Amino acid sequence: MIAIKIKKEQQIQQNAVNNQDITQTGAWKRALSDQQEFNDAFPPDLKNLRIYFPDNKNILYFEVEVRPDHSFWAGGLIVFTVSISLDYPMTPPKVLCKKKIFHPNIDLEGKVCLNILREDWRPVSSLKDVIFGLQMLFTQLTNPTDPLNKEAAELMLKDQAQFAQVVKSTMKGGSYNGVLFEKIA
Amino acid sequence: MKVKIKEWNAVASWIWSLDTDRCTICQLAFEQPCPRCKLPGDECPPVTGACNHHFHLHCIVRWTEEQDYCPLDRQKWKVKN
Repeated sequence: MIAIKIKKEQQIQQNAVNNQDITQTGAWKRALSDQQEFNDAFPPDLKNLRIYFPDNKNILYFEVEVRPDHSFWAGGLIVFTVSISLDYPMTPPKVLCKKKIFHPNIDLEGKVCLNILREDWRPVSSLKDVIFGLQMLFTQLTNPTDPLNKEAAELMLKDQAQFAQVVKSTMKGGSYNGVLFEKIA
Repeated sequence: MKVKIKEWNAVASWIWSLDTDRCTICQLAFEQPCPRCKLPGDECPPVTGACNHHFHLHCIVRWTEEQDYCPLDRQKWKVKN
């Protein structure tokens, strides 16, 4: 399900890239300037964060790999796909979590609830802010009071120790309440 | 020594007189046009809000189709007179 969605996004991007004038669009120019900004902010040797362009000719689609530490998800590798529409920066980039994860703010289809990706997006926000936000989703920004995954949120509020245990076992590819998770740790 | 001028070329440059050099929406310099325009200058001018923030006219107009506040301070966007 998530894979199909990501493929579709990639296809839309690919079509746009085949269009010869794409490098002249505002979205492309802005993404290029954002890229320079995050290269300065996130040196490539950071061990907790990596940004990866599957198609190095297309700067409008990339993946963010987060390895949280000091968090419930410590030891896991969480991958997000980020795709930028030609309307960027008037609309925020679309972000999906590539693998199923037990998190109050990420649903089982990979949708991510992060303020900057929705109501708090402003056209002066940049990809650096998005990447920071994704990283903080596993620390300060974990928010069980505004959940996308209600089950995870309720458990986190009710019993932190059990929540920690479920996160740990689901990251190893275990299942919870009949849902099978993918191995990310 | 006498110099006889045979030919001369005048060169002039211009900049907008603002306290910021680029539009924070498109991240391009005000001396460049917004991404949707081809030529800089009067056709694609910067505009200043009541809050003293500057943007390309076209960039902020496009944003006000989405929301009516200044992207930098979230005050209601109004053009400064």
